Amino acid sequence: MRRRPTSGLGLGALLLLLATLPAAAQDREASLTFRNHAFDPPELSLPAGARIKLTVKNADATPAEFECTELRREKVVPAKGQGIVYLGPLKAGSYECFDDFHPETRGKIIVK
Amino acid sequence: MTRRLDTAGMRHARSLPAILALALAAYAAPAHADFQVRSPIVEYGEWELEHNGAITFDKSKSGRNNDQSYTFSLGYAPFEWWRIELEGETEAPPGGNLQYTATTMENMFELAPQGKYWLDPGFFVEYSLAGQHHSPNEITFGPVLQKEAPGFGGAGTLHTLNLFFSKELGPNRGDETGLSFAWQSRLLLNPYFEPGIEYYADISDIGAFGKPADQGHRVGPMFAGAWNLAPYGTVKYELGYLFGITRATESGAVRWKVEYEMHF
Repeated sequence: MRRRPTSGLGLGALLLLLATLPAAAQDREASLTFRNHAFDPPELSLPAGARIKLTVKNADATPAEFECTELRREKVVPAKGQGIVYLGPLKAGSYECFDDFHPETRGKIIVK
Repeated sequence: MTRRLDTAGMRHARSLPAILALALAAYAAPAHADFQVRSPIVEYGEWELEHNGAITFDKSKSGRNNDQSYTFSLGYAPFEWWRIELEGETEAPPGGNLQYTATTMENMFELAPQGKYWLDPGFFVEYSLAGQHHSPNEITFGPVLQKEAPGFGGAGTLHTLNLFFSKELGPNRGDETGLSFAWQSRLLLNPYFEPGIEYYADISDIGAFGKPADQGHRVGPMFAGAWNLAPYGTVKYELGYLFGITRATESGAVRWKVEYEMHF
């Protein structure tokens, strides 16, 4: 029996639809700022087990790239701009983050 | 990306012309370097240089031994949701010399910000311009899905699925719609070393699936890692070995990927 090509395309569409299901947990919001090439705050505390909508602001006159290798997140933030990073659910622990464009700029996300 | 022709051949190789046509097509085919699982994540403003390679292993007279393929590409993400790459594909079929087989333009569209939904969705489209005059051009497209999930031993896991359809274009085209399926699961043990497993399947024509034994199915271990050289970019690598699990595939293949990413 020949299968119609559209059956495969339908499967692809179904998978994409599945991808847009909202995450189970409600997002919590947090923010941090690159200011004078430093993290503000230097340590950001976040709750364990929660999904976080993190707003990363850049108060400096040069672009920055927020990066947390362990969390597998990186985000370019334009000068005087901001970006959104979705995290989690996070496990308790300390995660080092940095500005990939200015690697001496470092901060931490503390998850409790 | 071109689909494997070895499976299609069994149905059509009934006459000398068909065999000759198949031989020509097989000569131009499959970029084994397409043994890669693409991520839907786009890093805005990032340039990347990428090399993929693959070499097959089988009995010396099988016609499937030492098929080498290599790709080289330059990519850039001009927007947060779009990465474009220009790729050159080369291949040395068993017993043959290395030839330029295709110039390919790849596009990855990130359909939602990473982590916003239960899955990270993307959509992939590429157009391959054949490098050999007897070969068809080809368009390949389909969804790319990725999911981070809890793992074990304190490490998370990363699962990625590519489901691509392909159609040949141009004067030498065939009517088939190809389907390729690629799946990779990794244990996020350490950024430098993430072991995993991957699976590749190729169906020559979704209008006539045929027997599973005549399709291309491969599975095997892999590992990946990345070194951040900030502010000088990031080097990423992948290395894997694939076991052919159907009669239509070679016994094994080693495949690798090296990538350098940089913002300017």
